[in-house]
Amino acid sequence: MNRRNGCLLALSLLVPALSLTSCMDRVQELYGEDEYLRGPLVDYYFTGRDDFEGREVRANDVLPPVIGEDGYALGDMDKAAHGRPSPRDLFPEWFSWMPEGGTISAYHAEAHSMEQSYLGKDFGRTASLSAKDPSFADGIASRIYDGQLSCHSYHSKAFLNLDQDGMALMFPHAIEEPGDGILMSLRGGSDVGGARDVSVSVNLTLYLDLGEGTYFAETVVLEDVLLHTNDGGENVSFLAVPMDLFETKGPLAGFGLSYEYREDPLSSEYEISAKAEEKTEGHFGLLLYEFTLPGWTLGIS
Amino acid sequence: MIEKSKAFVLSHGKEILSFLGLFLLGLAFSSPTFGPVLVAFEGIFALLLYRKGAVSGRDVLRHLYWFLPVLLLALLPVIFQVKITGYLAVFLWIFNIIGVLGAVLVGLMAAREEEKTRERMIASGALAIALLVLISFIATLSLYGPLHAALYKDEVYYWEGMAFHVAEEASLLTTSGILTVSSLEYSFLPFLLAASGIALLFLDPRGKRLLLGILLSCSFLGFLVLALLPNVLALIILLAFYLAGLALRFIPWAARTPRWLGVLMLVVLSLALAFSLLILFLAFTGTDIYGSGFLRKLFDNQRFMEPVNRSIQAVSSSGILGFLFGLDPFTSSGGLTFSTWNGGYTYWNEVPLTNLQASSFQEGGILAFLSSAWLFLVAIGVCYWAARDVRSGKSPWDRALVSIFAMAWVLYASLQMDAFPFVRQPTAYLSPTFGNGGFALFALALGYGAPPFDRGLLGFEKEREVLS
Repeated sequence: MNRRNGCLLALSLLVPALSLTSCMDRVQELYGEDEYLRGPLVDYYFTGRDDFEGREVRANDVLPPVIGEDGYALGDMDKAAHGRPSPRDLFPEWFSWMPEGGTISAYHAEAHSMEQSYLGKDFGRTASLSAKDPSFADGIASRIYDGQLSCHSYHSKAFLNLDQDGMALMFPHAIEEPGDGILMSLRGGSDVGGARDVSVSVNLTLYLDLGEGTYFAETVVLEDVLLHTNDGGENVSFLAVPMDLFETKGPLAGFGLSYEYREDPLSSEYEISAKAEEKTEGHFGLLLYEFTLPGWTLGIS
Repeated sequence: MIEKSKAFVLSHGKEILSFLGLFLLGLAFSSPTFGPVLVAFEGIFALLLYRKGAVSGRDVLRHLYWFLPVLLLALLPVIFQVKITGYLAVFLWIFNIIGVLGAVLVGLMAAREEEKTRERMIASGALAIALLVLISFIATLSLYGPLHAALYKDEVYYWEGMAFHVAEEASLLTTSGILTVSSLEYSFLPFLLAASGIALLFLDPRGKRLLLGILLSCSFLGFLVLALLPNVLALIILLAFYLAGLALRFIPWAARTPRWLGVLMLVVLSLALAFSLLILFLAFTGTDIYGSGFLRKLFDNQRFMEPVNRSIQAVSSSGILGFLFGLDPFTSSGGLTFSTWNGGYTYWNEVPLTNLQASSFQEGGILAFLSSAWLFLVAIGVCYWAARDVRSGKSPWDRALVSIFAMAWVLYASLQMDAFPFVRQPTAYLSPTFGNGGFALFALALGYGAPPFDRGLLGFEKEREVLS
């Protein structure tokens, strides 16, 4: 082999090797060991993430519609809470769903006992976005796509702690037929006071993919969502939102969630804020454990 | 075309066998399910290589002390394996024994081939392992980039809602595809390649430039993988290894060991023995070395002593049956308890298994533990005699290479082995000796590197005759 051929051979090996190292998918989204995990609640707010920032996003000029407690469902999965319809009332087909050709029930009566989160057995793992599509398993957002509906002694690793400004997450790919509703598992957390129900109004935004890098954002406001707060990691609320509340239909590119901290029985005792930048006696966070689209994940038409 | 291929296969049968054999063992390195099946192929290769008169059963039996620990480690873990995988494990166990025995025989017979054939077989085998290493290396570079273990220390990424330390993992080719494994498991084969390179000091390059080039490239690849990870401890062990190799190659050892060196070695060995006995005594009396400030200072070596101490404590607490036959992995009394991990998985978290001896104790009880300790003596003996014989021209250089390979396996398995290497399946247990291609590779290397049988007990007898 002469020198020129040797150089060519070395180059032909080096170029693919270098181009391979340019992908490095596993190190694209890294966090510190304790980031979004430890410390006082205010220190691990998952705040400021907006995947749609800097993209072309259109929106209606009108104010978002305010949905009262009859328009959405809130409860302990199948049991109604606070006199509202339960998720089972609103979406009975989710709860009677059986796997194709199988006899294993996808939903167990005890909504969040320990064994419920065993892989493939419970509603959460069956209906989660990452169970449907592995591309949802990557990144910190997978904390709310993994089917873990409550704490299971895993504490802050299981949820995203949102301040009032919340977040906007883009899905790894647009979902063509997202189904007829959204199911979220969430609770409130506060570094002061004991167990109570806190009322928040949730701003839920859906981002529709219009193609060619443009999106349409439509928001609804869910009034008076009562969240179990500081009542143990197992006591979560399930929030089911019908897709009909949104006027625009199309492939779903992502969602956004923010809220207003409205009524807290302890607000007279403590100075509490849901804003990261405010230095108050205590803070409140919306702890989101799960976001899923059962119609899409379970294939219910 | 078919005729040509047929002729090629017939004329290069042993090289092809060697390539296939080592490729399968390299692949079986991290394949708990298919491992015993892949390892069993060594039995077939032993039959294919069999030549009447090459090795007699009588000789093997007379020199059984070289091979007995290997055979015991293949035989003993059966109860443990049945507890993990059920009765199917009995079949896998038989496969494993056939494979390990086959590997020893393949080694013995390969060592008795002609020099040219041996060299070609070694080059083919090295290329097979290098190919596996190269695939994993490219996969790791493409996912993590170079030097990720140093650049992203203490950083985590998320998968399925769980945090993983990016610096502690890499990609490895297995029978189940390219999997995410611990960086310890990923470094194992490259370490063996890099360490074996020291034997090239014993090779006279005249007329063997191609062979030297192939082996040097394979060895360099191993070093490159470790350096670009980087696995610092493996590199340090490698440095020690190379220093020992250089000493064996260039220091003019006297034919008879000087008295002062003999006394010094005796003192060092006695201290090591006393230290080991103290560790065993402490562990058997249930003393947690990490529970006492003084003992923690004395044994402050997380990587090596902790698993040994803990596993012996666990075995002691599980009663005489555990002591004799190993642990029941599914009872907390055995020291291995379940913990939930994100609700969905369970894993054994009581005993950090990064050590061949600790794993062996758990799998096969006290006999397996002693056998795994015996492997050290065997590997040292094989290396010592190989280095001596090669330098004095009694044996060809390849015995040094294979012996160093065996020593590298024992060292790495004792310091950096990982019994739970599959990052995404934390409960998937990988035995260091059951269905593990690495162990079969060691058995093969032992067969190849063991001193010739006409030498006598421990390789000494003939030496004495020569001196007298």
